[in-house]
Amino acid sequence: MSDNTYGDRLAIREALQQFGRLNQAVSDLSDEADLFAAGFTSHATVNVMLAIEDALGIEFPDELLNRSTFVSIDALAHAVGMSRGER
Amino acid sequence: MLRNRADGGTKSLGMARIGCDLTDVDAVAESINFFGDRYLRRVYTDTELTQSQRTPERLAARFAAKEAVYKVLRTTSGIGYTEIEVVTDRDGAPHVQLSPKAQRVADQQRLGPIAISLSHERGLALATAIAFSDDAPADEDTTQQRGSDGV
Repeated sequence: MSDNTYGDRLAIREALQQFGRLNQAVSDLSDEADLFAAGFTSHATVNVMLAIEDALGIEFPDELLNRSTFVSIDALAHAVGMSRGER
Repeated sequence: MLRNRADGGTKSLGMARIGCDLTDVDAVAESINFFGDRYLRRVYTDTELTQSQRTPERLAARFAAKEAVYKVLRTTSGIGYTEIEVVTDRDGAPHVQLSPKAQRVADQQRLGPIAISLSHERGLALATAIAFSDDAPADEDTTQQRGSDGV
């Protein structure tokens, strides 16, 4: 795991903790865990997206605004990379 | 689903597509407080912001409507929130206006106009969207069928 990826996942976890409105602590969730099964809502995805954008200085393109982008921490980390044009 | 025609026949409306969504008004208020204009501009159009007067209840209803429309379209991919616009007419009735990109998605699925209904009470906003897919032949006429069946 590169430093960039580690930092991304940390920022994603912090955004989820603050804005995800999940029904369990983010620290209890694996990177692969289904966030919607943990209480993530469509409206909360917007806040988490904005928080990640603020933290990492990126912007999610509209093409990534779908449920699969927000389904897990892994998926969000992948989307961050896509937003940077890395993948 | 059949629609009555003036000549006594019926025309098929195709299959109904229904989507609904529930949005927490407090969550919208928190988003406005924390992210301000970045949140508002990312999710709502100028018309929506004007007509809702930026009140969390009305914005939550519009957010629910956008999600309900996504469910009718059966996709969110590539369609931003501002590409599904909820406008109200003089009587206060809400209508959906799709961006050209979102309209292409609807057209590809042969969906007719999308009707919506909004409500909010006790901290929750609700929206329902419905459209008919024109999967049946465009001018299906069941008058003769009814006649031949002796009905």
